[in-house]
Amino acid sequence: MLGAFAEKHGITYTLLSDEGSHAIRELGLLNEQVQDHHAHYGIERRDSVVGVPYPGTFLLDEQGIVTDRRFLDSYRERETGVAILEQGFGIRSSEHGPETRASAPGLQLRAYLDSDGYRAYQRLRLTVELAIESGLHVYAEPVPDGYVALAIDVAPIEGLAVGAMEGPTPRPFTVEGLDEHFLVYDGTVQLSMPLTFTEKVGDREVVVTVRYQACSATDCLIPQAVELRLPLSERNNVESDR
Amino acid sequence: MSTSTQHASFPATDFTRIGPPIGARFPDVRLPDQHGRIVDLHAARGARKAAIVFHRSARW
Repeated sequence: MLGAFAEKHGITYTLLSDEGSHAIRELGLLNEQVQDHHAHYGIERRDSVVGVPYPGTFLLDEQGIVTDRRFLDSYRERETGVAILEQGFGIRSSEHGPETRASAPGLQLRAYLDSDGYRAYQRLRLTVELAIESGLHVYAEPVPDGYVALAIDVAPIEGLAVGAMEGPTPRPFTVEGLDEHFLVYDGTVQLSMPLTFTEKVGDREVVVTVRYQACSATDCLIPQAVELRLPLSERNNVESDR
Repeated sequence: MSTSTQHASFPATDFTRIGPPIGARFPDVRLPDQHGRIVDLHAARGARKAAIVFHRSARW
């Protein structure tokens, strides 16, 4: 069964079969709430679904010690392999969706999604990289009145849930002679946000707007809003394309 | 207070209580792979890092 499944889906990594769910039970991963989860989604009770684990990922170091446990609240929602590699192990994946680049006043922008396709309930990640010119910085929230903080907006798509922006902690910055305190980014900064389609809505373009204001210690450039477009194809989930 | 059950919140799980904790050695696991060979998890990964992904059966 696993052999045919792996061949059909082009899976080359090791798949292990836990017939009878003995290992799942011993590891304490047996999902005893699966019928409640199904009821929440209006799925009929089926006795065949017992014995499944909570879906999630354990990351192990070279000694086999657990360094991270990645579980999502909804069993339907899953991370991509790229997200596990990049966020979990801190290594840059060699594969992701197509990139869009833009040159804008004070910085270069690069944006990409984990994949060029989406599956229902797969948690994709949008990555936006800002390469800020030397001597300049970009403001982060919160900002005093009259300044523009970095913001990344994704144009609404029906069925698309957009999570909060994640990124490095901005550094404090003060201007000599001014009583205002700022938080700023400089150098190269990578920000990301989770995108989850809860339904299939066909092939789409994800339209991302990056708003920012770049300043030096003495001058500010005009605030900008740069639009980046990323194509995304609809993919079938594994259970529905057998 | 809402009486609607349609938008009841998703049944919560305390994931900190599920499976091996952070800082512990992942237990030994020996299971058959997709080619029918028995795989010893720690022997198979050698001295490399590993991501162990749990998901439901390939049967449904």
